[in-house]
Amino acid sequence: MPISSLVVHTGEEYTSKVRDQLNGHPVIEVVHVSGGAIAIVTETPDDSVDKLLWKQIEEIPGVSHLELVYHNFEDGKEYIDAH
Amino acid sequence: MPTSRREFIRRSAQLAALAALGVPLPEGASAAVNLPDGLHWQKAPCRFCGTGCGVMVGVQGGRVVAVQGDPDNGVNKGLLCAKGYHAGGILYGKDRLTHPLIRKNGVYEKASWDEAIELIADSIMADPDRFSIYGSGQWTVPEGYQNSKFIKAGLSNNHLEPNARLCMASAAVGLISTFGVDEPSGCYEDLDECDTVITWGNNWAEMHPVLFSRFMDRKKALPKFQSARMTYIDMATRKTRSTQSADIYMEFVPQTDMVIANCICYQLLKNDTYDKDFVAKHTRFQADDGSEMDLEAFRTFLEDYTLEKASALSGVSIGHLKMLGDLFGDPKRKVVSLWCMGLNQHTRGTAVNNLVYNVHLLAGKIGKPGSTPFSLTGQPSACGTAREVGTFAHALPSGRLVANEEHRKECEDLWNAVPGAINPKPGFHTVQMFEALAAGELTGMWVQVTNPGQSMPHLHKNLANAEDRFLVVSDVYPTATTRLAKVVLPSALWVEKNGVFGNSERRTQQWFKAVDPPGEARDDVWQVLAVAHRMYEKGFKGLRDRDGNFLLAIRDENGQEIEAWKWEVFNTVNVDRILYNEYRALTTKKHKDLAPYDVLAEHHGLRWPVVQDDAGIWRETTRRFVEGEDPYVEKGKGIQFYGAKAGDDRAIIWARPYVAPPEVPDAEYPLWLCTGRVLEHWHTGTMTQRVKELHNAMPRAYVEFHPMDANELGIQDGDTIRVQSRRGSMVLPAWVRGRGMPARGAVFVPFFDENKLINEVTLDAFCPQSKQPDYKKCAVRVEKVG
Repeated sequence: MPISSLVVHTGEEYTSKVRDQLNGHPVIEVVHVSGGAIAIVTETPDDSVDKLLWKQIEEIPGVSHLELVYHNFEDGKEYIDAH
Repeated sequence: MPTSRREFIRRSAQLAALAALGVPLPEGASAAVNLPDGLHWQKAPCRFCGTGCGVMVGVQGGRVVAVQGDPDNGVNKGLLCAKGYHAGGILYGKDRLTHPLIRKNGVYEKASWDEAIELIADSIMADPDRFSIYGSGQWTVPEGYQNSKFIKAGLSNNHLEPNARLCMASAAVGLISTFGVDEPSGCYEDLDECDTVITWGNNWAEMHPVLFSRFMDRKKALPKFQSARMTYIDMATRKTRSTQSADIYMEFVPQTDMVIANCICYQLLKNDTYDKDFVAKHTRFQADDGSEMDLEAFRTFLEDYTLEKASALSGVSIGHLKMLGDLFGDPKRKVVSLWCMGLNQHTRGTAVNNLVYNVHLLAGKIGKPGSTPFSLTGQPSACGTAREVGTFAHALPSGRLVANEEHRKECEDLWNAVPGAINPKPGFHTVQMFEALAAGELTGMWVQVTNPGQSMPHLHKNLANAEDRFLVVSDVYPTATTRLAKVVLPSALWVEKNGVFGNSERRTQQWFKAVDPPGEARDDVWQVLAVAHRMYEKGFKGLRDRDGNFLLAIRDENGQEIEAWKWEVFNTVNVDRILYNEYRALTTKKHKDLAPYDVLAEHHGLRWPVVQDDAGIWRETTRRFVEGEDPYVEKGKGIQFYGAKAGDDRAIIWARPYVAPPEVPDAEYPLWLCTGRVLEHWHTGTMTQRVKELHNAMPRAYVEFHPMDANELGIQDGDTIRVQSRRGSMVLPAWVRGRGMPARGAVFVPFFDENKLINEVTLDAFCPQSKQPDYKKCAVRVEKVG
């Protein structure tokens, strides 16, 4: 169950709408809003859900990009042989 | 108060996010809290890219279990990009190399370290003059330094090169030829002060995302009337994610960045908007052949770069060219120019670096907060190790040269090497080195922390016969290069060892080992030390110092030799600290003063020159050559380019003419090919391809088309396409409306995929000064094969 925190960057005119959408998501907790930056904490079943979640967040209208702040993956990660 | 462990972690995540936003935390609150059941945190620089972000690494039960952006690191202030998410994960791929392998009768067999070391030592001793080491901008400083000593004073052949030759050599030679010394004078704070950023062929949104955010977040945070003045101009040959955020996109014909820069200079002189005082005090002019010229001669040279002529050559509109001229001519504008591979991987890479400096020097936009030309690096220690330590075939540590008798003597004295041990003749540069290996002029090579079997241009030429030579590869995962090796050595990775890196802005960052490497994997520093000591034991004279002792001896503070070549001893000593402090002695004589190891350990990176003030505090330098910031600038000078070879404290404005690329599209090969990186993968993908999420997000390479070209060629997404050049071909899926969009008449292919070796196709022509190959332009044709 990875726990992460991220900063979601938005155009300032979109911040409140993006915040509302994030607030409505079951695995996202909005921690703080400052200008066009929204700090969130996520708790997901595994890393692949994280990836999907990031993509969903990036696709919210008004979101410009995401930055990672904190990532705990102590429950184990599955890595692959690439080739 | 949080009660459970998960609540505690959750609270840590919250605090980290608040800190990253600059929200004051309650007294005593911190995200990096050591937990009583074993989770503890320590600092390290991220090992991806040259930005040099600080990472806090959370360790529990001998494993890395968490990472967070280091809020105390001035580079990233607590933020990380997507690759940072996986910084810990790269340690735990299923197919980590965990024991030495020796190829016998075409099959790799497990070997003991003793057997591998014996074989390597014997093989080097059999032909020491023709043995080489090829390393990396991912070498730590002590790794690069020890290899330099081993090859240059031990084997005396100078055949030492880093892969930084493929990414940063033009930047280094550009800086040295303009300012007399290597490495940027500016700093990341300039992104906090500027009002304009121009990227010259650089996709920083994907390649240096934390720096991109640093500027963009500022721009977004300002009220509209202020942010409107903040301008981001993307000059490129391909639309990328950076373009999406640009205010202005200027697409130019490949190689004509030289024309654009000269055209800006033309306008500055023609419009009389250049900074006359700055130019008179701090610059002089030189022709392409190095002869002196004056301002008037330079003005005449620029007559070939009028707006009309430049527009015709470059494809950039006169209006846009004029805007660039006006922008640099506006004394109130604060402009940062950024570039990376676009200018460096260029057959006139040195010249085009010089030309960007010309623009900033003529405009006086350097050495002022918010105004600087800034060459970004692609690897975490391309600056700190490859360039500063000097792991090039012509170089010695800290800006010294093998061809300079005084420099050789300084190193021989420090190393207590036999006088004359360092050969004055430079070794082979990278392309020559691989040609020599293919031809048998070199019989052996030790590859460390890099993957030339995938990254060298014109692969089948440059890697020909590599399998038949004595090739040793130290790495962490199987790669295209390990498959050619006679001996494969498993290496420790990132926080599995101590390390020191130096980033793009002269910032040196130290970290301590946090976890053990898997299986029998061991530090690269130890590997070289063990082989060198075995050679010494066997009587190899080059590894004896003036007193007959081991040349690479690791000594304690009392001068007593430590048996660090024994793994069990190496593990009990901080060998990095000893090697780094020894190397540091060489930095203090060249205005590159590094902080002592113990001081670095206490800080989250310090930018050199680092000197102690009267109160005994170690002070870093934000901007070089600037009075009040750089301790080597004399009082009253304001700006002093003290590295100038002529001793006149002046930077050189070069008259560098446009030179067409050696291969351009024609009837037979009608398209440009540009290669590059993608957000998800680090260079050749050997680490990031092991991370499931990154692999899934970008599983294989592709060939990207402009939609109109694709339409004309009848190509759709997913079609199977053969990309053919005069050197080779590669079959790839088409991507028409992908992440980027090449210019009309061009295609783009990323090089991360070892199953799609696009470097079979690329050209290995290189810059005559820097010897850096051009991966950004060659001529190809495409055909649909499925």
